[in-house]
Amino acid sequence: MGRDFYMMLGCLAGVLVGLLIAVILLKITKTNGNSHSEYDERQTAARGQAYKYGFFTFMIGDAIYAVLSTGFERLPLCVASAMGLIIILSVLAQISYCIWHDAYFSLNENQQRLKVIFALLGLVNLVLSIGSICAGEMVVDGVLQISSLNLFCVGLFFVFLAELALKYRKGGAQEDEGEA
Amino acid sequence: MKNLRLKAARALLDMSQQELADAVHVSRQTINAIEKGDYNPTIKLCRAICRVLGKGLDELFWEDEE
Repeated sequence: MGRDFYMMLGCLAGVLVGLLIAVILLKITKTNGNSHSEYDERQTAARGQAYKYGFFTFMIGDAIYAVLSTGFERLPLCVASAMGLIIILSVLAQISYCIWHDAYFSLNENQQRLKVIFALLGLVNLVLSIGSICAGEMVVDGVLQISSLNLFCVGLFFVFLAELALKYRKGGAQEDEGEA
Repeated sequence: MKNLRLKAARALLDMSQQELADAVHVSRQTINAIEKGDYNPTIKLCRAICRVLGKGLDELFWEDEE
């Protein structure tokens, strides 16, 4: 069996581990022990809009990639990296809209715990990225390899936490204004 | 349009936005958005708010014709 087979097996294992972490996160970040996220009606509507933006970001990203891959013989990133980048940008569009419309955290969410977990996940991805760069696996022949996804994830978590911090500062000021 | 009547009714009971939000099971930001006129609540949420504040729908959510 070739290297590609083991690579595919590794990717599959990565996805399964990711799913497992997501399920655990759903459980431990809730304040009432429920794994179901509870949103109020305004949040539900805002999240619907957010998914729309995420969807269109994906469509546009995919179209751009299709045009570029047709027009250029060689792109500076492999197919897996390109697809991963498009997914991450779509997720970013969705979560950004949710954050700015106070619809990211559910009513039964332990916000602090979730922020700490995301910061840790960002850190883990950063360590993996540095490892890949040092091992020379990130860029091969001028092409970004699949390990660049870790670096994209670092960017995602960084932007996520930065947006939360900005929103928290802005939200604090609004709260002072809004309270009776 | 700002819903000052809701804000006044809440203040009359000495309730914070968070306390009202908890009572009707929504986020504080949703109550804030309703008071600021940024969000039109459904009839279900209007009724829940009225019940907690001891007011009628007309008193809190019906716009005066002027």
